[in-house]
Amino acid sequence: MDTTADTLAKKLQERIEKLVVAPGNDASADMGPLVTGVHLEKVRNYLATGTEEGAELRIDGREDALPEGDGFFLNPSLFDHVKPEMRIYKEEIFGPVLGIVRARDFATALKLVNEHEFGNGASIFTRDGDTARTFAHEVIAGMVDINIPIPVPMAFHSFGGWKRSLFGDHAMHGPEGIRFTLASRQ
Amino acid sequence: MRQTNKSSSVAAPQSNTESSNTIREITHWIDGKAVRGTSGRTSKVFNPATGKVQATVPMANSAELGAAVESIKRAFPGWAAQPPLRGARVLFRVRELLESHLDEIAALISSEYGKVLADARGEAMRGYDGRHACKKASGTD
Repeated sequence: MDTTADTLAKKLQERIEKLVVAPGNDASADMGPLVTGVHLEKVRNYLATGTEEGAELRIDGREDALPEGDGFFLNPSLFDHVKPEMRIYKEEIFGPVLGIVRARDFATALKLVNEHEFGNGASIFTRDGDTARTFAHEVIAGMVDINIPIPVPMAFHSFGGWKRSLFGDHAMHGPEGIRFTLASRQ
Repeated sequence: MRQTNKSSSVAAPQSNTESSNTIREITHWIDGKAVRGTSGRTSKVFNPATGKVQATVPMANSAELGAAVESIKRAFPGWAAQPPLRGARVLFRVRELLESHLDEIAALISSEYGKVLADARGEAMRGYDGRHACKKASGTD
């Protein structure tokens, strides 16, 4: 398990370090600023919290140079050895912070996702069709992808999460949404 | 289609912002017209790439909200009585406008949320695709 995770972490680190952080209207930008100063501070605090909790901060987005001025910029960060009891695992950071949780096998990883109180989107990277199919059927998340990093459907499909990853008391993407929006008649 | 929904106008030019002393004032859009806020309460709109305030947006009070709702109520019966084809034409026009203003919409998203332009265009494109789907669903495409 650690060989696979080590290889992944190393490749992610190489890729993340190449990302260009710049104003959104700069053509070279891979990533712009965070939305507000308050949110920037919140995400920076999560970097401190994760370190205190014992996760390994492989890339600290607070360290490298940022675009000049007072923009709400933060470089991307990478945590490794994140554990399910940590706040950086349990809470939604909503910033350029990636956390690696190491799991022994597929069943352990699936259980981790399914036991989390949030369930917006989940992806699996695999060359095994059986594993992909099992994941798609059993993962408890509103949006699921195979070999794609961010599961978001085309605009004309409904879009959103399950569990605590949705607003309101009904899942508006799905049959309930149709019932709410349309007066159906047979 | 009369724009009777209450939303904020984004028509003001961007140049009228950070470099000048006057901060751009976003207005309400009620009963087909840009309407200045009267509550006295505003919220700052930052450009996250500069950290500076680029505009202020008014916070509506209950009278303004009531005016918007009344306007919608007045417009609704007339629109509900229109044939679907007329509605489809309006949607088609909205789609055209979205397409012809895609770059401006993307620039606004980028300046208010910090997204890179390519992502902002993608987000605007999702709205466009949604309109396209509406048209398909209406059977007029």
